[in-house]
Amino acid sequence: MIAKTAKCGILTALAIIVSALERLIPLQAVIPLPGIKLGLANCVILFILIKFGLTYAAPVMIAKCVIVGILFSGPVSMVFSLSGGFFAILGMFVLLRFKKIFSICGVSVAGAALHGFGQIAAACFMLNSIYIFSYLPVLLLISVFTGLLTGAVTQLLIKRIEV
Amino acid sequence: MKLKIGDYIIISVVIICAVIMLLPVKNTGDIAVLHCDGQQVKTFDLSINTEFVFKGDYTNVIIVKDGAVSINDADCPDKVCVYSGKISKAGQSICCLPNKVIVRIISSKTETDVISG
Repeated sequence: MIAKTAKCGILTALAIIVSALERLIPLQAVIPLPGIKLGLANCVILFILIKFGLTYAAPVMIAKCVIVGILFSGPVSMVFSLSGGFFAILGMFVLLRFKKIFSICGVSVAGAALHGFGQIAAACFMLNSIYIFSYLPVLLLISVFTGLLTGAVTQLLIKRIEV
Repeated sequence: MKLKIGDYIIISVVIICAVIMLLPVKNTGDIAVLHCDGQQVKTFDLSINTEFVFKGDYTNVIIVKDGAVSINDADCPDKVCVYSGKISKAGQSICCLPNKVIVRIISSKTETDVISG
C-alpha cells in the first residue's frame, strides 16, 4: 500500500513531465483545434490503471491535471482536461474488465475518444453553446491515431517495466 | 502491436460516430454570427469586407474578406483561433476558448434565427 502510493507519486511526476514535454510538440499549428494533443500522459495513467487499479489511477489523473493546469495551461484548460480525464478513466476502467475482447490499444483509443468527448462537453458548458460539438468529429478521428500510439507505448511499458 | 476483435469494434465505432457527425452537407453560408458566452454579439454579412475588434477577457480581431471569415489576431494564450484560418461554409466555426468566443457561419436561407445587425 505504502510502496504503491510512493510509486504513484513518482508516476504522477512522470505524467506531469510528459505533459510538459508534449507541449513542445506544436501539434495545434498543424491541426488548429483546441484540445488537440498526443496525450502521452495517458500512457502513465493507463499504466497505473492496469497495474494498480482505479483507486490509484484516479487520484494521479486529478493531481496531474491540477498541477499541469497551475504550471502551464491555465484554469480553463484545467477544467477541460479534468472533465476529459474523468470520462476517459471511467471508460478505460470498464473496458479493462473485458481483457479477452479488448487489448490495451483498443482501451487506449476508447480513452482518447472519451477524453475528447469530455473536453467538448466541458467546453459546451463553459461557452454555453452547443455549436462547439461541431469540433467533436475531427477530435474523434484524431483520437484513433493518438489512442493507438499511446496504446502501443503502454503495451511496451506493461511488458517491460516491473512495479 | 496485436489488435483484438474488440479493438476493431472500438475503432470502427469511433470512426462511424465521427463520419455520421460530419455527414450533414455543408452549404455555402452567407452570414457569420459572433457568439460570446452563449450570447449573440454581432452578425456579419460575408459579402461585405469588414474588420471587427471584439474585446472580452481577451481581444479577437475578426476579419471578413471575400466571403470568408478569419480571426487574424488575438491576444489569447493559445492562438488556436488564429491558426484556424478562414472559414466560409455553413456549419463551420472558429472558436476561441479563452475568450469564450465562437464565430459560426450560417446560411440565411435555411436558418430562421437570424437577426440582421
